[in-house]
Amino acid sequence: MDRKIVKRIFILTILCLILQYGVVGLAGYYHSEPWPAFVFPGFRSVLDFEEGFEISRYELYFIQAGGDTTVITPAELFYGIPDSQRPGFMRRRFGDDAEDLLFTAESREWIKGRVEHMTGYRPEQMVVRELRDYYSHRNNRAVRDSVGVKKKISFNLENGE
Amino acid sequence: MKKKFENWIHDTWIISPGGAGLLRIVTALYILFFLIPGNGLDHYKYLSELPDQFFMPPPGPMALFQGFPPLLFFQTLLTLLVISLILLTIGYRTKMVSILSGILILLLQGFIYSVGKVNHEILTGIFPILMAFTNWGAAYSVDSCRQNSTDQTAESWPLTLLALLIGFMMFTAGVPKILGGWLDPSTQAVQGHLFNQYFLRGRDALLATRLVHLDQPLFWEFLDWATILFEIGFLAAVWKRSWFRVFLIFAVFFHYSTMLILNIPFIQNLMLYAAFLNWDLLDRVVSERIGALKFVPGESASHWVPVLIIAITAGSFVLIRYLPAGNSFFYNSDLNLQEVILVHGAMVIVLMILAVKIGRIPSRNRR
Repeated sequence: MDRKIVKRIFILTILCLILQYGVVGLAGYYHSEPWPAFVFPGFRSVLDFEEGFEISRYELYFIQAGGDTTVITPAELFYGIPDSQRPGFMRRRFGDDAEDLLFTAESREWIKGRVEHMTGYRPEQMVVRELRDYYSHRNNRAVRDSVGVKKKISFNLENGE
Repeated sequence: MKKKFENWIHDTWIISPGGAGLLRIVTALYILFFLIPGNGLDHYKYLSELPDQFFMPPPGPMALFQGFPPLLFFQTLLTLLVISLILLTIGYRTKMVSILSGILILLLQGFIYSVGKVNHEILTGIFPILMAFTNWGAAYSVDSCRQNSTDQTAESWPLTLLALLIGFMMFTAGVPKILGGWLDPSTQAVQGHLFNQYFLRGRDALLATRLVHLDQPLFWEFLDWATILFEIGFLAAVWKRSWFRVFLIFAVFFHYSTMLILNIPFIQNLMLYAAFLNWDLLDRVVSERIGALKFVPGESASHWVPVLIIAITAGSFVLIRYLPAGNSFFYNSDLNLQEVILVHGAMVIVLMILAVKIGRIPSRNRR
């Protein structure tokens, strides 16, 4: 390839890399990380809480007609989504990043079918709890000493409210 | 300055057609056995059955789609990808299949990332597209045997461009850490991430269980600072081959320790780092040693060199890929045995290179 063209490719690439990094920052701030983008994972958060650490996780409760409740983890319900992506999926669907919390009829049917497959019954209600586990250091060990509920959302799987 | 910039582009990394050919074979087989996006056909079946509401594409071209496509679409893409990687291995219409492989990888990744979380494996798709411009089909390939193929030179600038991308992307990993407070001595970020990976994702293999209970702030703070210095410094190292090679060695140590502590192997990057190995030296050794053999009396074995290279590489990768219980070797962690073997393999190569380099220093001094 002509040396001049190669040089232009390099100059253009350098400019685009700088520009896209700005776009990644803006898009990430207002929406979510764009793709494709030339960035490696930042692991920005420090996850530090006073003398210990806090970690977010979700629990899903499925309530059937008689009131009986079953707890299912996101890993069980969304087993096909890789571990590396599941926390992101939960944040986008149920967390602070969620754009639309209401379920469509298709989504409700999918969830009921999946829970029925796992437990043998079709649930009427779904409760999503976002929890914060607080760990502290004691005797050179990490100990979970409290759990806080950050968010709780109920879904009626019959009518979608 | 202008001249320096041009020299940096064209002369920092030099690769011969033979070296590029060997790199092509190893890369194509590595992608074929370890880096095809997704966790097999079941993963795509699951995606294709998800409701459209769970299709949450990242900002970008994937937002043009309204939902996950049917399984047949994924099956077609996967079949095309496997065929193009096989053709890339043997070097048939190399440039075209290199670019096709890259585009197919990016497309499959795009759908996988449309569940609301992007992973950072874009270079797996970009790499074969970039390398297509090295003319890596000029040796050890069907293309080189075809009569019309007379272009036997290799271009080295794609390697410089790859180095620039790696350096820049490492830099983008370092900046958020500084902004997020990783350098604050009162907080230990790596330890916090270990907690996150260990307790939330069950990544408890290798050294994770031992280290999750290690409360030594100095040790964890050292890891915080070392990570940032390594990631930020990578971009500056792009300018000089010797610096970049040092940072590549750091990178393998970095991924090795990340795998031991956080159970994150990031095997995609090993392929990228391998592009900067001395493939020309390997080409000379292979040509001299295997080419000198005589399978048929009076006839050189040089024609068999590509076949043997493909057979040996594919054989090794098959052994690693299809190890019994490879995916369930670690009880909780999603880390699998193949990944552990590959990262250890990279570590062994780096240690061998270091041993050779260190071994040379006294002999130079004696001279």
